[in-house]
Amino acid sequence: MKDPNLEYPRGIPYDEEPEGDYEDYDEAVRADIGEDIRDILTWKEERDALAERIRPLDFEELPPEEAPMSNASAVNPPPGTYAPEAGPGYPQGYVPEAGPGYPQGYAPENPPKAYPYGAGNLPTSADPGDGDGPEPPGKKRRRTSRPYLFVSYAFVLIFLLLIGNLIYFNIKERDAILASPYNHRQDDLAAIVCRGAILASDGAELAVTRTDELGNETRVYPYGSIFAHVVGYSTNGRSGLESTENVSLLTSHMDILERTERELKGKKAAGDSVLTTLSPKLQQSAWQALGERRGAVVVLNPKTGAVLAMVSKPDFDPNTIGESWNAIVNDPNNSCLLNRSTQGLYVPGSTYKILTALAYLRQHGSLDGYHYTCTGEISDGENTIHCAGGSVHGELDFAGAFAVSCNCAFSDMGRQLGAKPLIQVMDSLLLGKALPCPVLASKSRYDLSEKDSVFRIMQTAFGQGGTAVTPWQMALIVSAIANKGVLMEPYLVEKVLSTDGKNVSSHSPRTYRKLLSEEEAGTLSGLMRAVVTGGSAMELAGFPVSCYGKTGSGEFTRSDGSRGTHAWFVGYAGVTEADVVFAVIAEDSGSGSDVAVPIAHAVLNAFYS
Amino acid sequence: MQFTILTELTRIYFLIVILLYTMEDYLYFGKKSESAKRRGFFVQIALLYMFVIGGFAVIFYHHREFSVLLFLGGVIVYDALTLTLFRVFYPKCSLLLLSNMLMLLNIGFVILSRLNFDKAIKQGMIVAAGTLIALIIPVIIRKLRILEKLRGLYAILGLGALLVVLALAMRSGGAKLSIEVAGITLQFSELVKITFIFYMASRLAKDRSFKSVAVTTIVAAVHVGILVLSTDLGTALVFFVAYLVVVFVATGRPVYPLVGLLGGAAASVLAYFLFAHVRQRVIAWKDPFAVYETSGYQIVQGLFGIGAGGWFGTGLCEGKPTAIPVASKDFVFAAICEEFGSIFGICLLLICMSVFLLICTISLKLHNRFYKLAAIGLGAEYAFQVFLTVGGVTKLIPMTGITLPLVSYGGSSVLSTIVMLAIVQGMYIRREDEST
Repeated sequence: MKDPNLEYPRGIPYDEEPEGDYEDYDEAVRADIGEDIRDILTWKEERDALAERIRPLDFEELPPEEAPMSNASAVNPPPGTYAPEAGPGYPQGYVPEAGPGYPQGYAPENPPKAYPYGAGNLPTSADPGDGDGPEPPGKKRRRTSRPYLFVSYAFVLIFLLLIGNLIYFNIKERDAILASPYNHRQDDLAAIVCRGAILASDGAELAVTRTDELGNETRVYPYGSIFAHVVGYSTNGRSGLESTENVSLLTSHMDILERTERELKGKKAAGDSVLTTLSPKLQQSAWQALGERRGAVVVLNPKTGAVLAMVSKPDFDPNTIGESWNAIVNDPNNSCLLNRSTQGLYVPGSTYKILTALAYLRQHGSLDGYHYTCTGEISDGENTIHCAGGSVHGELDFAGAFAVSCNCAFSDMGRQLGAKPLIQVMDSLLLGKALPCPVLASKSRYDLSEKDSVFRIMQTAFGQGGTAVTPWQMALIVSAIANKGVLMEPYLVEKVLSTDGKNVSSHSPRTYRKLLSEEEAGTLSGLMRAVVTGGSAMELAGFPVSCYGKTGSGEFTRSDGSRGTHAWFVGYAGVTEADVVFAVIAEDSGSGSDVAVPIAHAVLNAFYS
Repeated sequence: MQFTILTELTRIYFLIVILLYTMEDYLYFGKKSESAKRRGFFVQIALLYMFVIGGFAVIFYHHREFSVLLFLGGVIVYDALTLTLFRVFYPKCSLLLLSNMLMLLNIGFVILSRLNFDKAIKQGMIVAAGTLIALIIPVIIRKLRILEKLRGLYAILGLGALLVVLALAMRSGGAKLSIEVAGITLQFSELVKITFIFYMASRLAKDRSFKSVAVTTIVAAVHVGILVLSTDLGTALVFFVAYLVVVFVATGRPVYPLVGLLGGAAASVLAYFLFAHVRQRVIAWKDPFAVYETSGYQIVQGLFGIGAGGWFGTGLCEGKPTAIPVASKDFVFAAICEEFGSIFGICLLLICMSVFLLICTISLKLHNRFYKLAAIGLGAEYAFQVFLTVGGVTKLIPMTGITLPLVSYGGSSVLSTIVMLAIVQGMYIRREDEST
C-alpha cells in the first residue's frame, strides 16, 4: 500500500526519534491530567479521525513510533506559516523548501483532500509561531500513546473485575459462607443477641430461647423429638434450621432505640424469628404413622416448593441433646442424628420404574402399542429376575405393567433400551447431582455405564442394581411430575421477622429447573393414577381427592447377610392441580403397598382434614 | 459496655467519609482549574483526618490505652509534616498522588492498630523513615539525567540482590526470603522492583530493535527465574507482568506480550507440575473447604471475615479479623472488608485504581521515553500487586502471598511503594517542567 512515489529526503533518521525531550512538537499539550482521562474515553474517535487524515499520505504503513516527526513536518507545512529554525528535530543542513514543501518526487493526486488542515480546520489551540507542523504533534503523540492507553484499559478492567467479584461474593456466596459449619464468627453475636425463635407456618413455636430472672438462657423445643432433624439443635454444634438460619437467629433487627434502651438495662437484643413452611399437623401425623419403624417422610407443595413436613426416625430429643450427646455419638449403632429424609440413601425398588418409564417414553415418543407377557421370571444367561411374591402377571400393556409393578416387564424394557437412555434420564432428573435443599442433603447415586452387562441394565431398570436414592430425591422428581415438569426451588423459610413483627426478608417461590416436558409429566401422571385406581396402591382408590403414586419394595442385604425390603411410596394428590407431594420410606418393614401406602394415607387425611 | 447505636453510627461515619473521599478522587479528573483541584485536595485532607481520628477514637474506646492516642498524635503529625514538606519543597507536586498515598497509609495505620498495635507502631516508624528518603527522590528524578543511562548498574544491582534472596531461600528451604537488619526485615525483592523497571526503561528507551528486546527478555527471565526458584511466586508474577507491559508500550507491537503471555501460561502449567507449593495453592483455591485443616484454612477464614462484614461491615473493633492468619499482611483486605464492609473495600479498590490512572496519565504526558516507560512500568507493578492480593483474598485467583501496597504491614513493601510513588512524583514534577 506504500505509495511508490513517496520518497523521503535523505539523511533523516526515520527509525529512531532524535534524542532529547522534543519540546518542539509538544506545544499544544496542556498540563491537565483531566484532559487525558477524557482522551482515554474518546481515543477511538480521535484515532479514527486521525486515520482519516493520514491515509492520503500513506503514513499508516509506518509503525506509529517511526513516523518521523521531522519529515512529517516537511511534507505538508501550511504555506506561509512555516519557518523552521534548526531545531532539535531537524538534522543540520536540512532546510525545507518554501511553498508546499513536498519531498521531491511526491506529487499528491488530490492535494486538497490530502492536506490535513484545510481552511477553518487549523488547530486553534496551537500557539502560533511555535512551528506548527501539518501532522499536529498532539495527534502524533496520540498514536504513540496507543499502547499506553491499552495498558490503562487492561488494568482498569482488572480493577473492575476485582470489584465485580467482591459484589458477586456478597450477593451470591455470602449466605453459604455464613452458614458454613466451620464458621464460628457468628457465635460471638450470642453474647449480645438472644437467639430468635423458629416458628411453624401457623406461628407455633418449634424452638425458642427462654431466659430466667438470672439471665440464664435455655433453648426449648416444645414439640420434642417430632421436629428433631429439620429444626435441629444448637448445642454441641448445630444442625437443621438451627444451623442454616443461625445468622438470622443471631441478628437483631429490633428498633435501634429500643435496643439501646435494653442495652442500658444490661439486657440482650432479641434476635429475629424464622417463620418456616412446616405444618405441625402434617409433621405430627407423619411422625405417628411411621410409628416405631425407621424411615422418613417428606411432604412438599409442588407449586411453590414449600417443605410442609420432614420426618426422620429414629429421632432424638433436642431438649436433652446436651445430656445424651456422649451416649449418642459413642454408640456406633445409633444413627438417630442422621436426617434420613435428605441424607439416607436407599435402593429405590419399584419407584425407579418412573424413571424407566420416562426413558421408554423418550425413546419411543409414546407408550401405546407396548405389550408384554409376564411368565413370572426373566433370564439373561445364568441370571434370573422374578416378579415380587412369585406373581405371574400374564398379558400387560404399559400402564398395566406399571400399575402391578411387573419386574419382568421393566427388566425386559431395560434390556431393549440399553444403558444410555437410562443414564440420560437419571442425569436429567438430577441423580448423582447436588440437589437443591434448604438443609444438608446427600447426592443420590447410580452405578451404570454403557460398558455394563445387560443383566446390570435389567436390574437397574426395575429398581435394583447399584442405584441409591434419598427420599428427598424421589420427592423432588414427583414434585416436578406433579407441577407439569417444573421443579420449584424447595424452601423451608417463609419469612424472617424482627421481634416487633417487621418483615426482614421473605421468600418468593421460584423455579429451580424444568426437569421434564409437560407431556411427559402428563403421561407419567396417568401411569401413577393407574397404580392407585387398579394397582399396588388400591388402598387410596376411594380417597375423596385423586391420588397418584408408585409403590416400591427395595431389596437389600442386612448386616447379617439375610434379605430385607424397604417399603416405598411416592406420589401426590390434588383435585385439578396437585396440592401435595409425598415420599415415604419405612426401612426393612415389608412391601410398599402394605406399609408405606397407609403412612401416606394418614398424611393425606391430615392434609385434607 | 457495648452500644449497638454507637457501632451503627461509626459504621455510617466511616462509610460516608470513604465514599466522599473516593468521589473526590474521581471528580479530580474532571476538574480544569488549579484552584478547583486545590479545593478538592483540601476536602480530601479533611476527610483523611476525619477518618484517622475517628478510627483511633473507636480503637481507644475499645482498648482504653493511652498509647493509642499517642500514636494517633504521631500519625497526625506525620500527615501534616508530609503534606507541608512535600508542598514546600515541590510546589508543583501532584496533590492527588500525595493525598492518596496518605489515605492508603492511614487506612493501614488504623487497621494495623486494631489488629496488632506493636506492628502498627513499627509500620509508623518505617513509613516516617521512608517518607524522609522519599522527600529527596523527586529532585533526583528531576535533575539527574544520568539515570537513564545506568542500565548496567540496575541490572547488576537487581540481580545481585535477588541472588542474595535465592541464597537465603536455599538455606531456609524457601521459608525465609528476607534479612533482618536492626529489627527491620529487608526483603530485597521489593527494592529490585524499582531497579528492574529502570533497567528495562533505560534499555528500551534508546533501542527498540529486536536484539534489544531479546536482551531485555533474557535479563527479565533471569530475574523472574531467580524469584521462582526462591519460591516467591507472587513477586515473580509482578515482574513478569511489568516486563510484558514495558516491552509492549516500548515497541508498540502486540506480538511481544502475546508471545510472552503464551510463554507465561506454559511456564505456569510447568510450575504446577514441578512445584508442590504451586499445586497446593491451586488446590486451596479450587476448594478451600476440602483442605480446611491445612492450606485452605487461611483463605476460608478470610472469606468468613468478608462474609461476616457484608456490605457495611461489623464495625471497627466489632469483628473477629484476628482469626485470619497473617491478617496484617497478605489478608489485610479481608480484615478491612470485615470491619469496614465490602462497600469500603470497593472504595479502597477505587482509590488504588485512581493511583494507577494517575500514574498512567503522568506517563502519557511525559516526553522523555525513559521516564515514560519507567512510569508505566511502576504503575503496572502497583496495579498488578493490588490485583494479586485482593484477587487472592477474594478467591478470584490462587493466593500468591503479595501484600496490599501501603496498607499491609511490611517494612520493605511499604518502603518500596513510598519510594515508587516518590519517583512518580518526580516524574510528575518533571512533566510540569517540560510543559512550561
